[in-house]
Amino acid sequence: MQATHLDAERRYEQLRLEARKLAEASLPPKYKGVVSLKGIDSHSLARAKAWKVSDKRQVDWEWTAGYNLYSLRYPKRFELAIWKSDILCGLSIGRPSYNGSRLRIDFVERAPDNCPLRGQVMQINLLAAEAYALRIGAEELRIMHPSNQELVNYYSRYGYKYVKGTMGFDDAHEQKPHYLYKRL
Amino acid sequence: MSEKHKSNNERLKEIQEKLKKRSEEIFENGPDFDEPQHTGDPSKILEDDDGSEEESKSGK
Repeated sequence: MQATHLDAERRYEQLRLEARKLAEASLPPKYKGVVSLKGIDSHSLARAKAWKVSDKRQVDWEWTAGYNLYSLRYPKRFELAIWKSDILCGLSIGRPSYNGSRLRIDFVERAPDNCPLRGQVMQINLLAAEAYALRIGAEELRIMHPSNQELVNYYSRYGYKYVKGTMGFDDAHEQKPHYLYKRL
Repeated sequence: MSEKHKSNNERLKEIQEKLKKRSEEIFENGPDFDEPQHTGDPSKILEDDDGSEEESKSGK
């Protein structure tokens, strides 16, 4: 690993920590002392393994391998583990653009079974992601690859606008993804 | 005072104030049970599909 990569990891870990504290302090009073916002670590990844066997889970994403690769590639990443007491309720990852003017959220997942924060995980994630975007000086947050109209409608309620990507090009590298965005 | 000359504490205070207002907007109507179980496409998470503007893998 390059020295610049390690240096970025250290600097941005501090920013991630600060942003999580800011977001936690901004949550409504009912969450205080009950909900905690943390980074993704071996403990949260171990808990997320239980999600794999749920028949309510809608995606096939292996958090441990996926996160390990993602975190190695992107030292400036956004990452979040949402806990209610000792129950893991959600995980999220994203990354800033090269010049830092935007933050994109690549993937967010709520615990598929008996989540005590159902209906609130995406809200908490939005607040935490916007906190990190502001902390790194980004002016826009993007939510990548919304998969259906319900999801577009959901984020629209929180001020996000949909941009349709270009699809169907022969050269995949020419494709533009679809996303939702909000200026911060 | 220009953005450049703001102290770190001033910047953090500004962000905190902004987030508190934003939190009121987001949580105004309580839990939103239309919440999706996930957002994003797992097959595209590791793709650099937004061109050259994405974060450099070296962290520079």
